[in-house]
Amino acid sequence: MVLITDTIKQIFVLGRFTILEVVRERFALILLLLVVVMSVLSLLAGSLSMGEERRIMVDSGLALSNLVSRVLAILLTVAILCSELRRDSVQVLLLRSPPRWAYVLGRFLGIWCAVGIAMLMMISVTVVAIELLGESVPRAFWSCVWLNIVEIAVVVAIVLFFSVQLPKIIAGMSSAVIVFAGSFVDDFQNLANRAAQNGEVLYSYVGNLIYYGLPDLMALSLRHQVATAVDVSAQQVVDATLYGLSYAVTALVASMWIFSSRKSI
Amino acid sequence: MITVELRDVYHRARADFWRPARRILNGVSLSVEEGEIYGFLGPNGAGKTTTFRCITGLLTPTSGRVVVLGGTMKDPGVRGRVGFMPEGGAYGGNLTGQDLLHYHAILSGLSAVEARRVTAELVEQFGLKNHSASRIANYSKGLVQRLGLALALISDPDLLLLDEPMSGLDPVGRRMVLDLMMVLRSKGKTIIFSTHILSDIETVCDRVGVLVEGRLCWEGHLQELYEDQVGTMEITVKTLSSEINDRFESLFDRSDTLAQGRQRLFVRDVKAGNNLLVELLEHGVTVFDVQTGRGALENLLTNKLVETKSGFDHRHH
Repeated sequence: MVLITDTIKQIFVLGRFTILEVVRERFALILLLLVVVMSVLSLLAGSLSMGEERRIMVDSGLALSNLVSRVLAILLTVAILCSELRRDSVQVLLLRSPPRWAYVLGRFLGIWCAVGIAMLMMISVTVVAIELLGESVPRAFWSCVWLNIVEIAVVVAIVLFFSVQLPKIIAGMSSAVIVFAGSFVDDFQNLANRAAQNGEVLYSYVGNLIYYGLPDLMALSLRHQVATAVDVSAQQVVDATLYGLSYAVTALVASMWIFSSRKSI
Repeated sequence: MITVELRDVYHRARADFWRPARRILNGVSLSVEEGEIYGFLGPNGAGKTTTFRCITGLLTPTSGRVVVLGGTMKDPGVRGRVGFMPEGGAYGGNLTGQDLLHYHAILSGLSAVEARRVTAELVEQFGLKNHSASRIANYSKGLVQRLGLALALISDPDLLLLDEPMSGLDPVGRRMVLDLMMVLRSKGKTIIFSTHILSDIETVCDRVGVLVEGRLCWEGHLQELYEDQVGTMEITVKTLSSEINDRFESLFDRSDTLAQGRQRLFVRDVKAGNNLLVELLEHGVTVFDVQTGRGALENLLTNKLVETKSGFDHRHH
């Protein structure tokens, strides 16, 4: 029991110090500053469009925060984890009692929180601007923000999966490809269906494999619905959350298993 | 009581996936007693770092048995009693030295108050006070080494593994590390360290292991080594005039010319060395330094390297 409590404590310590490392990462701060400037500019552009201010502000605010949080999640995870594995510092860290899986989990929680906080900061600029216009933020907006946070978990878990086994650049590029392709999984399914109709079994099989293997990031995006004021049902949010968290947990468990089974660190 | 025991440890690894696996450790067996300072000596690529990584459990050897503090490094209780300083350790560049020490102190199971106290003590002890608030990325190599040592000691370990701890340290830093090792030994701590600096081994080590091409070629007490080569004597004098040099040439085996008008004479026999010394003093030669037994380790290492190299050449013919 004491061992479990100690491990949980160590996971949170690892997470806390990961946030501290992220906060001091210069490129993250520069990127964040850039986003704030871009948000303000897009809000200005929104205010010039007659009658469409709220739609443009919501759309651009959500799109920008989503894109930047994906980039941050990839860059920060690679920068922190791959660099640490390449350096000797991880060797000293792993002697401090936490099991290897706890190290991966602690890093995951820390990066997820840090990127989540950065994303909320970006979103807050949009919210303040909408409020200043005298408009109200739609309820579905917050559902979209929540799913963005879930999406960050998925992205961080994917990058972790590659980072625990591949060199920095290959891990970063593989993660970026998977995350990018994750926005087009429906197209892979369409291709698989078309191949099946034409009797091309192999193509259909490969298409389906890619469809089920890749994360369906579009399922986690409500941006267009929110921007065009289409209703978002609670069931849709729950389903997307369950899907996203399941995917993140699967990738995370695989990362923890791979890192724990490594014969050499 | 035996603190570390390695039995027939073999390890094969490939540098890159397309290259064939190479044997890094070739049946290393050694045991280190509690309260002992054990020095690892060997050329680059001999397998010293790999041996350290096997002991710390960061590397699973291909075969063989590694016992640390009566258990294995998979046991968190054992891991918590081991301090490790990797070679040329580079630590989280975004954190400050103080943050990193505090972080490791908490991970070692100390309370926040206790961690702050230990961190402050180590910052003071290792001369990091003026740099404790700077990012580690801005540290010099010597400061990083000091930080690495402080990290290794943070949990007050019973076993300390130091891979090249003197690398990058200035003379004051080196002296500090050697003094620290002796203090820790007096407290019953066990230390295993590797270095290329033979004089450091001679200063602090109880036992030495010479590792060449993954094989422990020689292991023993330094005393045994000195007894074997007790005759070796080195006399450093003011450069001899040609007349004196010609006169005593038959009394020494070899001489090296040193900087600043000095000359070092090597004598294989202490009795002959003493006679030479008396003669030199009687003839008004200025003597700067007399050392006995020095060079024993250097000779040993050189001989072992030559033996291994000739064995290698023999196998490949």
